[in-house]
Amino acid sequence: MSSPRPDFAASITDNPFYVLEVRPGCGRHDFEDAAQKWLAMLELGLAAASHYPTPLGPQPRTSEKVRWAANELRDPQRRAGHELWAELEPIEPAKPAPEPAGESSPGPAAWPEALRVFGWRPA
Amino acid sequence: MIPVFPIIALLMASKRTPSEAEMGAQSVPIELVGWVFLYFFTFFGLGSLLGEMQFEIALKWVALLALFCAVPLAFPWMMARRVFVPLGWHRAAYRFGRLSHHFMARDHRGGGALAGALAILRVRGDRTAAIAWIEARLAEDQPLRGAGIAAMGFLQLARGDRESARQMLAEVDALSPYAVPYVAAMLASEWRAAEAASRGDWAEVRRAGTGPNLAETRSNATRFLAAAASRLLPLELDPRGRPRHASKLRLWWRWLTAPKRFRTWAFYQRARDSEPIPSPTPPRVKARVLTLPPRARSEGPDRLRRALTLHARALAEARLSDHDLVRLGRVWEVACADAATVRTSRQRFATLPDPLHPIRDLRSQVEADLGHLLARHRLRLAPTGDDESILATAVWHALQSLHEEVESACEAYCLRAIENRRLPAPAEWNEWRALRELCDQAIARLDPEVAAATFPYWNDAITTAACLLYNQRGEKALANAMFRWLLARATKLGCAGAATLHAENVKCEV
Repeated sequence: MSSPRPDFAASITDNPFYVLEVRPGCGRHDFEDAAQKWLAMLELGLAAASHYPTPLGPQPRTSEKVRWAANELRDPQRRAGHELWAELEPIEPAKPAPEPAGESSPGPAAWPEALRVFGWRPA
Repeated sequence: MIPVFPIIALLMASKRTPSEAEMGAQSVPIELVGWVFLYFFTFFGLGSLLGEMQFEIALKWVALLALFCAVPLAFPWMMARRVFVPLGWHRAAYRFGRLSHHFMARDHRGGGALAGALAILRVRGDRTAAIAWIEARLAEDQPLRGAGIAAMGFLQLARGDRESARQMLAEVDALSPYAVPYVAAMLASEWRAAEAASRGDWAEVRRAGTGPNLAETRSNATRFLAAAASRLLPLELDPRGRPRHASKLRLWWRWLTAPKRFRTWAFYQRARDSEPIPSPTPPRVKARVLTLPPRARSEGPDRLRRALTLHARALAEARLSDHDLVRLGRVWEVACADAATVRTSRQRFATLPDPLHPIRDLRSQVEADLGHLLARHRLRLAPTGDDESILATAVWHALQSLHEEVESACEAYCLRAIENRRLPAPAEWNEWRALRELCDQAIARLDPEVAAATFPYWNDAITTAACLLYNQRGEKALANAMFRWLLARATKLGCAGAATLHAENVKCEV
């Protein structure tokens, strides 16, 4: 089974360790129990199970994604690949710094009435 | 009495070229009919007034009727622009705008659509049906020329899509002046200048105020705005070393000749009192550097974690620079080759047949992510000098992907022309615009040498399509715009053969 969302940055956002909220190095029982827990919570429609934290922000969790994640971790070869990507703690990175302002002074002010003055109605 | 008006009209009609007839011009210009009516009205009216002719009352009514018919038919564009456009009657504006031979000799149907689009702009409330009606008329218009392009721009504005309107109206200047009725160029540039002034984009105001045949294609309002913009912008010198800004006297003259002098007085004063100051150095903008959060720095010499942190940060950033990507590539290079990382992998995945496979897998994923970041942030695809590095591989993949994207777009465009699969005129133009923007973006991202080596492939496909459009479908304005673009790019990239060819192509009749 392939990743439910094999897109850009999926190595992080769809990492099975983040989906099941377990850490690399956990045993088989740990992730199997976690999978069962999340499936049951999703079945009951609990809000706490609807999203999981990742370094790129919370991602939606579905039953399909949980089953896929557990399946990935059962295969040692595939699990190894995900393990390296899950080294980061599943927390959001600090917000990007605001754009530094250039050293140039702001340009001349606009003339907002220009369109109306020459008979063009602003759309 | 010498029939002056009919003689002038007949002389004008005799000067019509075959290409004008192809553009939907009437077999007899409608102004001719109007002027004949006007002549007879003047003849009978003056005769009756001066007492040289004695007419029955009925004949006076005939003379009045002649006047009623004569004025709209003699001045159809004036009727459309000054009567139906302010009333918001798009159908009448279209029909009268189309009749004008004097103003729209190069694009009758486009002229009608232009008048219709301007009328729609005056309509308050739902404009959907009116826009659809004009678009249906435009879709019949094969080929599309300058006034039609301007009409499309104003229709986008009527929809409320100002950005598309801006782009489409700027297209009018990309056409050969022979394909654009000067009224269309004048209206398009005036709206562009006024709209840019309302946003404070004075460089765009100045661009809108320049163009071919300046005296004919730029209104007095546009020329006043451009003169004011030149004083509000930093001082620039022309190739001869003379300042490009308008003097106070010139600005005053532009203000005096522009309309709405009372309402523009305050703005005129502001521009007059603004002394253009030289800008010896371009404004310096501090380069953004992708930084590691302090928390990660304090976690010790774990290079893999450090690379992952920076990677996650790069994925979350809204804007990245070339410098950021180079740094990220270097950090990953160090992390993947680090002895500690390799040792950890051997110990951690000792049960696997190949304990280092996860590291290689990670590396290829990183290359893919970096390739996506290069495309997403439209970063320059410059060679890195090290062909084996992660960043070099990512650049290579991104280059391949870009070449495939542009080549397949060029080939698809060419194939459609070869198979003569026609689109409605506006869609045909939009297809070319999309392809041109894709190629321009690719050229901006490529190393100049790589771009020069790649350009001939795109050039072949686009030239073939342009020749077919010109020869088989009579899309002369569109083909000419394509040749002009190819000429400009071939010259810029130093492709002498292509530049020589297109220098000849642009001379073809439009």
